[in-house]
Amino acid sequence: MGFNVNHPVLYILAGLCIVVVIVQSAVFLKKAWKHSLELGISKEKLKEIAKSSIVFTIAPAIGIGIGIITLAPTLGIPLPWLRLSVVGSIVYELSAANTAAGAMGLTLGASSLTAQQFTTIAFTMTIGIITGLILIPAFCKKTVSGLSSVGMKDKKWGEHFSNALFYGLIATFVGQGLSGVTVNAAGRVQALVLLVSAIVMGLCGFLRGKFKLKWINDYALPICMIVSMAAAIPLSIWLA
Amino acid sequence: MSKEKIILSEYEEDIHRTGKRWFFFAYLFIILFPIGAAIYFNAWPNPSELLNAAIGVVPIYWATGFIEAFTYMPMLGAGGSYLGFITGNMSNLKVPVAIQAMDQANVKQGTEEGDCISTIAIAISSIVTVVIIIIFVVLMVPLSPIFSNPVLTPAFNNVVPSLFGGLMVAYLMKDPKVGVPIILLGAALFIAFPVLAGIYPVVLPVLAGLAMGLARILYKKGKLN
Repeated sequence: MGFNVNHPVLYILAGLCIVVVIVQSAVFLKKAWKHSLELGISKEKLKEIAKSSIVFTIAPAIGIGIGIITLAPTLGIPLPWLRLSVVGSIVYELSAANTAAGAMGLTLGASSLTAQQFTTIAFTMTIGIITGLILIPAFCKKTVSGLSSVGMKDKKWGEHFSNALFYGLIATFVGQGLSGVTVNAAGRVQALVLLVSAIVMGLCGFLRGKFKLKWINDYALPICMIVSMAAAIPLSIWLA
Repeated sequence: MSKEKIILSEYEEDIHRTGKRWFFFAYLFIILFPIGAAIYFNAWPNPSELLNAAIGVVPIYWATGFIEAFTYMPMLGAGGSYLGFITGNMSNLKVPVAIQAMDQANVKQGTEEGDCISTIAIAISSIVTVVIIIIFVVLMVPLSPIFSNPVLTPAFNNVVPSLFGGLMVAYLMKDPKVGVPIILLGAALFIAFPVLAGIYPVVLPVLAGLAMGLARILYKKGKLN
């Protein structure tokens, strides 16, 4: 059987890696769950957290699945499947694949890939993600224990320190969401989606306070995401 | 940071030990894909083409990897980091899901409880993601026309803003004296220089650093609760 981007061997190679990741997740889940109970966190609380983590994941995971559909016509299914299930993200994978194709004088999607072009793209994508994979095992213990020591010495400051770090992340992605507002229609849609999501979160907060709907707390973010993503459809038509 | 030795609990030591082991194991399988494909199809990349491609990818992605590693590790804790960095999709999924879970459980980042809850959220999120992606792969043919329908495209092009709009409001009241100015600064920077959107990983540590600096000043002055 000659090479094609959906060759069964590629499915086996990708599948093996994905199995490893699932088992790894299960091992960590079991350890953390057991230790949470030992620390006095109730089983009910853990189940609630599990449930809202599942709900939270659905919309972004569908987005990732669509990323595979986007990449599949040129790179096949196994490579994007692997890269988007393990380490990668759509933005990185797409641009890494494009860069590799460009270096070979190709345009992704213009023609089907030879085995050598395919492995060049696969190697390039893998080289790009090496840093995180080296830095985490090398520095995680020091970095995380460093933060613990900040928190241990002054619990109040530890809390503000963590909040500040998260504000940096939020400010970056809110900024990124607003970056296209003066550029084009897609940028304005993106900014309005951000705004709709913010308004829906405000509404959820209001409903929780006014009608004592405590459950809203756990599902507020998925609700914001679904409503604002749906809003993108009419907004795009309106602003086109 | 003080030089006194930090004593880790048995659980923390175990997570670091297991984490490292799994990290290397998973990494072996990650590099097995290109190497296995090259061996099976007898199709090794042309070194000069690979070098050209790597030159295009390495500067930005290694810098991004470096920044992300040191920004997200303190947020996710040990278990969450070992797992999150292998399963990927950090800023659009793993970091927010972990933060939300810690908030819901009322535990703090940097504590053993926070580490456990972050690990649980990331593990569950990773498994759910893999399952949903498998469903997509299996149903690729019938699903393709639905999700590649141009009418639906804008919805799935906007997953990240739909997440961060809500997150912003949910977390703004925690430390508004730090959050409001930093978010306004982020908004102003990106609107004034839209080109930053393409290099956001460089902006992230700058804004996080400014937020920490501001928080420290306000905290020292007793203006944070």
